[in-house]
Amino acid sequence: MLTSALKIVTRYSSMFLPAAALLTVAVLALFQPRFLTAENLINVLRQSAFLAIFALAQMIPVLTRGLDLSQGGIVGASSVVFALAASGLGIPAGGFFGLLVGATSGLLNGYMVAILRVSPFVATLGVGSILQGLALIVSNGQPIFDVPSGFAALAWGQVAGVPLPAGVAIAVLVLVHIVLTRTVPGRFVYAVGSNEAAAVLSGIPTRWVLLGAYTCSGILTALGALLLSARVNSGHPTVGADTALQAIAAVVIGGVSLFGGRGSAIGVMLGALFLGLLGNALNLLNVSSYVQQIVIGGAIIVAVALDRLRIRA
Amino acid sequence: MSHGSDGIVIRTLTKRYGDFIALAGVTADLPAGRITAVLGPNGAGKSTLLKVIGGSLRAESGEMCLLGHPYRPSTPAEAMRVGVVSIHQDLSLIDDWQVWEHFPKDHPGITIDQRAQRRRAADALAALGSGINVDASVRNLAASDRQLVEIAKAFARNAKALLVDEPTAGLDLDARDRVFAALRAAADQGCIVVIVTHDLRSALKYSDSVVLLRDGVLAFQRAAENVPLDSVIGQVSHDLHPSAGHDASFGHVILAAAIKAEAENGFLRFEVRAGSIVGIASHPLSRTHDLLRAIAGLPTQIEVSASLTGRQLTGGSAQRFRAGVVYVSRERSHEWIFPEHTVERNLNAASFPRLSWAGLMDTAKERENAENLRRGMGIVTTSLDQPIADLSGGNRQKCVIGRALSSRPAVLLLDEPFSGVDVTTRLRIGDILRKAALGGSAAVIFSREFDDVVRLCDEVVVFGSNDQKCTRVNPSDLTGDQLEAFTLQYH
Repeated sequence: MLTSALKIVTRYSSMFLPAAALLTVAVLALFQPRFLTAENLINVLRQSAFLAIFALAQMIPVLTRGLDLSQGGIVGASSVVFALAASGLGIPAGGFFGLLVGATSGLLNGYMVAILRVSPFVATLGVGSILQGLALIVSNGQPIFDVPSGFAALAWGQVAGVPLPAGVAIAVLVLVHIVLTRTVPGRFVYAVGSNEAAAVLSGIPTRWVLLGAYTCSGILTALGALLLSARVNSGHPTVGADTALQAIAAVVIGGVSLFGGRGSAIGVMLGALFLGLLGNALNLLNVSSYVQQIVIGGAIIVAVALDRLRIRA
Repeated sequence: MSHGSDGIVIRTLTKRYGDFIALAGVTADLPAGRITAVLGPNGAGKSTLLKVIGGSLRAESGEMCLLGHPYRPSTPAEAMRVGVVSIHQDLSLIDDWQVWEHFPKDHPGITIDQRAQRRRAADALAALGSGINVDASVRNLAASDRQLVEIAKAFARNAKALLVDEPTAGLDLDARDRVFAALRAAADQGCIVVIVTHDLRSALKYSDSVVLLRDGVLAFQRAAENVPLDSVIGQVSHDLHPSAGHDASFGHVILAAAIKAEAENGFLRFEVRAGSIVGIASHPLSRTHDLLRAIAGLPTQIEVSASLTGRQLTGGSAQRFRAGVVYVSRERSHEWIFPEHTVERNLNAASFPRLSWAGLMDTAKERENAENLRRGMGIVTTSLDQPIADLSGGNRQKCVIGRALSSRPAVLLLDEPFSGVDVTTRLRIGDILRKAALGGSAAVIFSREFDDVVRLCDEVVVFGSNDQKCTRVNPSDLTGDQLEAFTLQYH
């Protein structure tokens, strides 16, 4: 009885997310007419875009059977550097230095995981803490509001009717999807995550793959940090406080296995959208943000448990 | 022969994996006090049958009885509670523990009575005629002793039935004797002993009854003494034909290896020429069982320096792979398979760069490469998109060798490529290696399946027990038994 129920759950587990999203939309539309307005949906897109970028960044190390807990630190450090550099050198140069912070941090994560063989959990937790501390020192613990005009346009502007962050998120989605499904490095990432020993014996340069995975993750995280800074119109050292948790939630809900080697960028995008919808829905229903934390925690646990069952089946 | 009530009785068991029927109405009797060997080619349903009895799989239909009671376990734990214990090929012993720590405690709760547990371990091992020290560290045990500890552990649980998958894979003759003696001792004390094996010779020599499966169907169940070896080999293999090319003349030296030894000159050397297949046979005490791993650049306890077409091999295994030294590991699940990926991905895993253009994968080329390998290796699968985890052991083995060949190696190093593989597949692997060798590459095989070594290899290098000397043997003058006997007495 129980085993056959499990079988049904695992067989249709890929349908779980779309079904949950549809259900959320249906319930909301029923209880809250404001939900289905174009204005609100664009709002959801705008809000989900940041999370989608962070989740797509997070998924790459997760696919290699790792994870990146330094995302919050990277976001804070990139944001501060972006604001400082932008006020002196202009927004494009500021953006460059912000991304450079992400690339360097990712490289450091990758170096520890791939070369020193430190567990990803410890390595990225440590790097994240260091970056967070540096961001607080440089900014004196205060948001940097002294930014050039046009800074906020990055977050609030539109391209052909689409909010700019959503446009960037879609571009990142397409890029990550193509790299993962259609390129040699993409094949390598899945192989390393599935069985590193077998990847080594298949001649796959596993160290480079890990180094690259964490570096790409760092760069994409910094890209999200630039947009997030624009949204709060400042360089903010602690703006990324819950980034890693939220991103891991979206990755897991999007069907990526925490045991590596399985999952898709489109699934992660859906995971981020689902969390965005859920947050928006709970807000419109006047559910307190404290309760929202509980809901997200529950969603993560259900998603990971489903993944476990799928492996056993 | 069977009394129905004192063993396991199986009636019309059927098990499907999707469209694939693994067991089609199998009926058999597994009596207590007897050793029953389940034989058949890869994919015949042997492992599936064992898993259904052991509770890790459930049959769709059919019945089983254990000692006269209906028996239908849904988990291995449930099977174990009624006394049916499975012993898997990937043994469950923990390297860091001592032998006695693996044995069951004799009382519930969280406390450990070390003395009682030690005694229990010693009693069980003694009952099976084994003198293994219960304080020995598992790390230091030989493969056959690990197998014995597994059997004793099950025996100490008062198991009514022991289900053993490939009990003698990779073991030499003496060790096989010891393992079967222990299984016989267990049977003599009333156990139902069921083994699945590709080692036909030992199966017929040691077991009482033979269950032969083909394509999920019971071909026959007979007393072992009524089954001549030749007829089983005929049944288990689909098409027997000799592999050609033994007397091809060989090219230049592709691989030269020197093993650091305490001999007078300090090194044991051997060479492998282009177009040849070289077997490595070593005394069970020799440390050269890690020779191929060392040449492939994996960490081992022996020091080996090797050169490829005159160039010293350096660096780790990835670097050596790129140089053309490709290693096929004996560690089935740990070092071979990408379990959640498709057959196609697994076949292509060593060739991604070759199947791409400027970093972009050419999906048509990927499909074509995998399809060619599937046909060439004779891999039985419903589709290239099937997860590799669904394939039988022998078919996975073909996938891994296919993957290695697809990377176009200069030298292929195969570690125990025949263990757990049926006769047809062995011949097929032999043909494919021969074809690859004729194309100018070379293969080195380390194996304890001496019949296969003799049949396939152009020469065999034998290492002595204390790694003091080695010699070259021409296998065309020898039988497998003769080579094994020679290896055992070569000190």
